[in-house]
Amino acid sequence: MNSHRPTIALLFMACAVLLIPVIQCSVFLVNIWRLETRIVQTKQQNEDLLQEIGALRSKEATGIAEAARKLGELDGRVTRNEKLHVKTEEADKKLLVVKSLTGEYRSIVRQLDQLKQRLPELSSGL
Amino acid sequence: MNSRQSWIGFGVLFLALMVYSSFLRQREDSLKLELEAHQLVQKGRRDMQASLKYDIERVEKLAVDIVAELHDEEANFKTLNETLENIQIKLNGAEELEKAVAELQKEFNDLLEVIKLTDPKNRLLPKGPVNEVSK
Repeated sequence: MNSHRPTIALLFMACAVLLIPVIQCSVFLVNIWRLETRIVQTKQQNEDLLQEIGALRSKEATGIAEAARKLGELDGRVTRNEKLHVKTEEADKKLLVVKSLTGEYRSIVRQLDQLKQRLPELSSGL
Repeated sequence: MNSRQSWIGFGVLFLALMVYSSFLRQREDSLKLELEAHQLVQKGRRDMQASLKYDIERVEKLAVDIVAELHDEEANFKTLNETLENIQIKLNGAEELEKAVAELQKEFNDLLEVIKLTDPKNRLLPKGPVNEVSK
């Protein structure tokens, strides 16, 4: 019985020594499993992000095209308004001339009336 | 199996476990690096996503501003058009007025000539500046 004791003790020691790499391996395996799971998740998220980026790029391109179209329309309207503004200014100048002409017309009418009033006097003087 | 063989077996098993443990450590390091690379890719894509979202927001805001400008220009156009129409209406009678003025000018100048001939001292001319009307 006593002769077996050292053997059993050695066996326990051997088991304890073996337990160290076993525990290490277990820890590494668990870590590897976690890492692999995270890698799969990250890859999936990256794929989703890539698709979303594609959709966003398409949306951005559509938005830019729409904004460019509206900008072109705005440019056209600004040009049209500028032409109209020039036309209005010219018409306004013509209106000023007409107003001046009206004043001249009234002045002539007034002077003509004065002269007509003096015509009998002229006739009698002659 | 004697005691010596048992110890050799134990040693071989221990070594095998240590080698396997080392392999697993390397595998773990490799996976860590791979995960890091994927996370970097993810960060880059998230940055790109944020940048695109910001750009889209700006483009949409710009489109809204352009639409507002379009409305302003349209209102401006209507105002200008109305003004021009009003001026055109006023100008429509201008031609008739011009003819009337021309006739009056002629009549006035004729009369002035007659008066000058018959009244050299200009007694009959109205007070104030009375001159020949320029055509």
